[in-house]
Amino acid sequence: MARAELSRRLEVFQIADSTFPIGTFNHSYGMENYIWRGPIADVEGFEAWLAAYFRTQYLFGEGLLTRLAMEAMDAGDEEALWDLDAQITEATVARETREGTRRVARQMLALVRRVYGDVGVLDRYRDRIREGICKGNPAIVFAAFAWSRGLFAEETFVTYGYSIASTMTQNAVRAVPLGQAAGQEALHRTLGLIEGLWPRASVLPSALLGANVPGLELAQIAHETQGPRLFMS
Amino acid sequence: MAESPKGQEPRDSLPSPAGRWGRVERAVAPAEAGPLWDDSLTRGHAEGILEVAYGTRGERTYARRVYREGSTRFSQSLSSAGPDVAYNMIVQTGGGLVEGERYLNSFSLPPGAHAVVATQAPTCVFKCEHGRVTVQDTSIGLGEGAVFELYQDPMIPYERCRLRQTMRIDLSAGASCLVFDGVTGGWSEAGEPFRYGDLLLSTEIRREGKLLLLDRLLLEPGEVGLEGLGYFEGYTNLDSAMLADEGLGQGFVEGSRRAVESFCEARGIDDDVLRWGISAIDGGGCVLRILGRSAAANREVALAFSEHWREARGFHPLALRRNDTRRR
Repeated sequence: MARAELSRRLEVFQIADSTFPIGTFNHSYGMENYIWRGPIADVEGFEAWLAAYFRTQYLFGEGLLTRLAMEAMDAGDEEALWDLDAQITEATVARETREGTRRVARQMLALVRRVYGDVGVLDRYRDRIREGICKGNPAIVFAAFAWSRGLFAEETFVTYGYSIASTMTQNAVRAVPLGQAAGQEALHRTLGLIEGLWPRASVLPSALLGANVPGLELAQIAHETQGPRLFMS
Repeated sequence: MAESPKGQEPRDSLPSPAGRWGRVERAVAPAEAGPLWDDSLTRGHAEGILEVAYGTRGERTYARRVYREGSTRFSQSLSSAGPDVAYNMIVQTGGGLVEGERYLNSFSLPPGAHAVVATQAPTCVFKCEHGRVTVQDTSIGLGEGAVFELYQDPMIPYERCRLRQTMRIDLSAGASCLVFDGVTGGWSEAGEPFRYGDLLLSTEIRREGKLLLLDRLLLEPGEVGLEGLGYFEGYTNLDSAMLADEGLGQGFVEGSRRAVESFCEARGIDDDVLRWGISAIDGGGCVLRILGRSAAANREVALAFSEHWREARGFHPLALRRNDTRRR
């Protein structure tokens, strides 16, 4: 691997790291509702939830979104990118998840800019968010950054998936709670699952963007009104 | 349902409503087996067509033009929604939707109109022996300040059936809509749920072009089954009520939660029967989701929600038929 390529990859890894402080540690995207109600009480429960999340909400949601966003940028079609922002936002019925996602995207944009300076398309995204034309989604921010660093769609899909899986594992370790090592084993198995999703993700049509399943979504909705909470969503 | 022959016939042989909700082209052959989202599915010949253009006369709304083809019928107006509101039923005389067939419904309301439409019974989606997708597309256009309420009974997907249902709702300023939509665990010879092929239920609501809700549900039992965590979680029936009404804020959402909660308490409906949640959408309004074990209980809860909204809007109470919800 050429040195320049390696350093571009490292930059993407930094954004993907679960310690990149964009507020994701504040969001469980419905997982906390399962902990509260009981179905997630141990590592098996957590892994079942994480697998269901990647097979559905990630595959058709932010995962597919990274690919569609990169295709829009390849085609130089920014309007298509802004349209994806509207679609993914309004496809998220649970208000907390929708607003949490927006908040994370805004923090991510601000921090990427602070660390890496101008990244053409991201500056225009931030302007549109500031003007209220776009809402903001972290998968679009991530895809745009990865695209600017020359990554391919598959690497982006898998790397962003890793970013979410590792963050959710950290969140589960302190909230369920799980042992650190057990969490890492679950994460490792989940990475295999994420890689296996790409062949389908690579051919999914945009008509399925944001397609959901009932249980995960209802938990995200129910989190809004649940009693004790560690997370904002 | 005691329906007069007159009510079953098109009241008007005029061509369908002009404009965005106009009739489909029909040059292309029916779609063969393929993915649910195949574009050719939106161009094919349609076996069932229902197009309703409402009009207003003074305060009163009426179905000004009704055009229909095939097995989809539209009842005469029922009086129970109030004196000025048009209230009609959609009747599938074939009892359900047939493999590879395409059904189109469209409704257009002029400014200030108020119409209520309900289905007569749950809609069976018959099995697809040749892997061809059954399609139902609905488009709804509302003029300024218009109100449209669509109370659909759930779909009953048969073993191996494949269904794509899309709904596109375009609202003008001040217009509002309420849509009921749902799906049961389906019918199979073995009596087991989730034996259908695949289902895509997609609803898109826009106001003056701006997207407010893109509700997509994709159910593919083949992958990992639908019983488990994240999917149906021990329940079989999913119902939704989607409400877009720009006058409604978070206060209404909280009020509707209290209304549904006290309805469930009064009826002894707990988590063993169903679970529900309400969340606000952008632009005013909210979505109610219900995961349950029976179509009847889900519908009662959805109606408790819709009645709360209708009261808040000051509408005449609506007596929807309820004896059709006992089937699975």
